[in-house]
Amino acid sequence: MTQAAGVDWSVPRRTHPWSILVNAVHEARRVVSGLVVAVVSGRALGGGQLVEVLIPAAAGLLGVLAWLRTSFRVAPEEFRLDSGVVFRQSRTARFDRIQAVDVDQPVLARLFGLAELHLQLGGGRHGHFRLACVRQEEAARLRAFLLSRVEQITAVESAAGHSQQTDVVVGGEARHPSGDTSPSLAISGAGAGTVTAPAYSAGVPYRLQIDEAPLAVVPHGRFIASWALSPAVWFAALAAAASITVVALGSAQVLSGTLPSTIAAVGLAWERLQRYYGFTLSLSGDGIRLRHGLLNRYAQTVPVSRLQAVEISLPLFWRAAGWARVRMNVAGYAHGGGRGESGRRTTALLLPVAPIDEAFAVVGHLLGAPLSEIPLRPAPSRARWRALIWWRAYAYGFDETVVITRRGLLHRRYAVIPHAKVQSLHLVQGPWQRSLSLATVALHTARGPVRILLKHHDIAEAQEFLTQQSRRSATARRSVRELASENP
Amino acid sequence: MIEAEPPFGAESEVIASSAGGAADGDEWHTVARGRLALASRIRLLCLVAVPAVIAGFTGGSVRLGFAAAAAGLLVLAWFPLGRSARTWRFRERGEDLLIDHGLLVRKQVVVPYGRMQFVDIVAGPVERVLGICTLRLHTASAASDARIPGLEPRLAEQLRDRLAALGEARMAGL
Repeated sequence: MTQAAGVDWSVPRRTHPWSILVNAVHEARRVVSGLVVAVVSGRALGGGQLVEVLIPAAAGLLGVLAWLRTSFRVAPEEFRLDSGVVFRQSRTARFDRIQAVDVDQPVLARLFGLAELHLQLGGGRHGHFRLACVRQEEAARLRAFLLSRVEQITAVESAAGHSQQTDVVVGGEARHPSGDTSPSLAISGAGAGTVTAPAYSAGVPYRLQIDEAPLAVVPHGRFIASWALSPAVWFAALAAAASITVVALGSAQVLSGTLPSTIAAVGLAWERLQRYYGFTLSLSGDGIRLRHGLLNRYAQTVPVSRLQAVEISLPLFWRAAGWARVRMNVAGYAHGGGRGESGRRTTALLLPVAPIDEAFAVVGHLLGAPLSEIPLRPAPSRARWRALIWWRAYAYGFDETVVITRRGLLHRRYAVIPHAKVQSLHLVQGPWQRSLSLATVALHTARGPVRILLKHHDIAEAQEFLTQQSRRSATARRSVRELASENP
Repeated sequence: MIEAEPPFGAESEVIASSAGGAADGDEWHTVARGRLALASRIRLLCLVAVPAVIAGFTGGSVRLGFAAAAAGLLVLAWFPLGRSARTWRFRERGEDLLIDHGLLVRKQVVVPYGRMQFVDIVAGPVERVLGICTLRLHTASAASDARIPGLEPRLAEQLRDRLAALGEARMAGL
């Protein structure tokens, strides 16, 4: 890196000037509809031709002002983002609250070599920061810095004064960096050595190079085949075909009714193709890195310790091909990670498509548990009186690290949760279950697509599981705390 | 009213108490059952009042229908409501809080102290008149539905402070 060592984030910095354009496109829907309304109403009020120049100019000026008034900086304990023209907003993200860091590159930003930085904080609806845009390598360095602080702070949190023992080379001694230009706040280039990522496996942290080791790469052919085998795409194709037929028959009135839903369906299918094309899952020093995207490029980074639960699902239509999809619960992703940007809802994908064995191997590697070796206990056969055919699907198992459950006959789903990530748990028994001596246990995790349910198991077994599981989770939480405090 | 039996029977008592660890001496705490039952019955009366009032303002077969609905609701729900209110109980164990309740659908909830993000005390108008309130526990999961209704405000505040202190000591990051 040429000018790398000099970047000092403790002083407020502005985003890149081209952000004005990128943000305008980002807000396109609002900007365009606002402009149309303004121009039309301006004309109606008798503004004449002038409004067509004045109003876009005003919008452009507003964009420039917004850029001028946006700045970010890194304080000793938090990331700060100041913005707003009329209403000033100053937001801070504490490092220890960061759940995931995404570096996204919309097409336009990509042309300028810029990137957006998204911080997921897991704090519900507003727990999401968008910093748009900075130069790509600056975004990458900022990400590396923030993630190193996440690991460091989690380690320091309970260390009670053993801070100098944390083995994070990136920004190593910077526990309380002062506001001045201390080198600790500046990342010194790419060759920043190794960081220690906490792993669940055996309670021993393992060392990783900061450069990425690919765990799973989705070949383009497989991805496109799996995309073509999904109902959403079929629906889009059907809708498009129907619309074309309608046009061919020349009935424009029908078309105006069906067109919006067709556009929505096709848009959704396209978004899936566009977003998850060229998917690579790799493990880097600061966490799990997911890189994907055809036109827009996305790079999500989730520290391994922020993975709350994982689901391996085997859709019916992929059964012949033997493929699986892997989803994850990460606090913050479930809320759409922003204000209703399309596709954001599905960012909780860990692997869009992979052979079943590979999916199990990857998840097992990430969570540090040999998933396929965990024996599954099926629901008792009397559960057929409660769940007629589906009772065969229900099963659960656990080892010293995770709990795994199975459900679904046509669409089979395996949900995996590390003991340490169980938020709360309950056992519930309905009247019909009671007459059969059955009960259901649910393990609650941070919000996301994955649900962990142990349905229709024997009541005594379920009771025992509830008791033992709360003990296992308590032990696991304690060992994670201790691991963090004695991080070598 | 007959005391409702503990939801999961005697054998679950043994399992539950063996899980307590250091705090094995702690027993099940009950809530203000009578007042809680009264509160849910008052709520039932408010609900029944709607079809009853409609019946009062209409005539003919419509009146008959609404009157029957009101009477049926009252008769069917009156006793189960009281009895189910009596099933609420909780227990402070070494690492977690155990809440257990339910008559028709029985439920046992375990909330680890280290996972509690915040604790609420809420009281609706009926509860306030009767001098009880509900303690609500929140974790990072939207699915955890842990609450203890029918607590006296003084006890609820004590419990909240105790839980907050325990949570502070055992707080685990996400």
